[in-house]
Amino acid sequence: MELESGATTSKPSRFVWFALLAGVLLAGCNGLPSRAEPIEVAIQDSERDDWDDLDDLDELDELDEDEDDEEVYDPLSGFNRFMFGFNDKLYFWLLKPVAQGYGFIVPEPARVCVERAFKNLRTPPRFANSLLQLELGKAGAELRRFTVNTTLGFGGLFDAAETMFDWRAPPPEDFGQTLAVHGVGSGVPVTLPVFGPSNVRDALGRIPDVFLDPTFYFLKTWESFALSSGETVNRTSLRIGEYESLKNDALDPYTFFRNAYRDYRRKQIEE
Amino acid sequence: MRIVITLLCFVFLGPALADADDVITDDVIADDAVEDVGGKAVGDLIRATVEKVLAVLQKDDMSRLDKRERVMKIIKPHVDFELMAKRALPSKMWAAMNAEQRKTFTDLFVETIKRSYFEKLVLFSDETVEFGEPVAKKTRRPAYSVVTHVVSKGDRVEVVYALTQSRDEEKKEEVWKVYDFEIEGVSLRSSYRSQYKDFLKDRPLEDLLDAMRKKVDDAKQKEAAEEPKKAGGK
Repeated sequence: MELESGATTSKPSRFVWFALLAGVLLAGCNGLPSRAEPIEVAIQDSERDDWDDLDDLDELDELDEDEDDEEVYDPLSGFNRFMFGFNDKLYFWLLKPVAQGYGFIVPEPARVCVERAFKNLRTPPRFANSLLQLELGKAGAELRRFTVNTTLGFGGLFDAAETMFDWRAPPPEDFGQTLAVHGVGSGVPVTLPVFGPSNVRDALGRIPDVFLDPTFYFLKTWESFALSSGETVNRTSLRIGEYESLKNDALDPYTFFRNAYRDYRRKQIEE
Repeated sequence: MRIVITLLCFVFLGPALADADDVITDDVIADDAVEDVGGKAVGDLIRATVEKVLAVLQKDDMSRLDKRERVMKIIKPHVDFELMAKRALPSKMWAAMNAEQRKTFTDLFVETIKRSYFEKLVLFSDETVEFGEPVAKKTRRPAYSVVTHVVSKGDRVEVVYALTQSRDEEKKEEVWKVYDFEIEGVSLRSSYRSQYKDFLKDRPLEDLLDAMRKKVDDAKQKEAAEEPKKAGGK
């Protein structure tokens, strides 16, 4: 399968580059995002009808546990927006056409199986990170699912663990979450090429996950790369339309994805 | 050898230790019989409505736009759009708007989310939904959140509905209505709110309304162009 034309850097050195970049950023930046700024809105000199509405507002505020008027501190926004644009083009010009072509040839049920197999294959980092977070229940769940799915599920193609024993997949863990659980703050938002919105902690956290993945040790770099690319193309082929739909909703797609990532990550960490 | 035994322990003791499936939130249900009645009503409402919506989405013989209109009819009595719109703007902004601006904004906001919500639904149209039990929120005003999971192509996506009691103008009574929903932890209301807030930082409200209007008009044009092709089915 013909894939990316451009990538010349090998996987480990790509990560080293990120590490250096991130190191520079950490050195230069304060790192902590929450800075409450007063809301400055251009208020129209409109006539106010009901002053009663103000009473309503107090009660309404009660509905929002996360009434965070915190400004997202985004010092790298110039770089991030550029990267966002880059990723956007990459999706529309490369990833999506390839995924669509692939999806045209390979029937959906097969692609769903392939995705399951990949998920199964990537169990070790999830297992390790669950342990590192002392989530023994999750670690056990990952392990027994892996055992059953690899054997009874034909190498992970079928989720035998769920269908036969109702062993559901636990929320996935990664090293960025492990760091968060151990108190590491997220750092400022960073948009990574290819990988999308992230933050300093999670971006750096990707590196240990590479080493926690056994495939790193017995696949050559280009093989690892091909495998990951295949995984991405397959996954994308099942989700065509999602990115476009989300992007279309947003007045400012960059801000939307940046904030959505933050909320999504917060939820993942809590799980 | 020891490692193998340890690992085997995980495998067999796992079920006893597993807490991965328990969603223990801080919003613990108040021990109040009245709350339970509300909880039950909310749970039934969500279940019934979502199932009706899924039934419509799974029909083969309706055009996309017809489906959307049908779905909107189903959910309309159960969603407090005005409250959603109110909460989609910084509170100070809302307080400073006059009645006409509020109406314009609410209408545009409804048109916006109608399309965006429906787009998402269509993406998940042929899946099953699992329902969790409603959990009372820790707010002064009675509210519940209902966790559901949409099982889609091997993935489980968490969708959480937030409901509170609102006055229904037609029925002239307080009914439970949805005022927000979250997909995988990302709240619809707050994602719009942060965008609008950002937009309004250095631009007046009218610009925002214009931008929203433009987006809605663009979307309507696209739909008008698609409709003739789609007439008679998907």
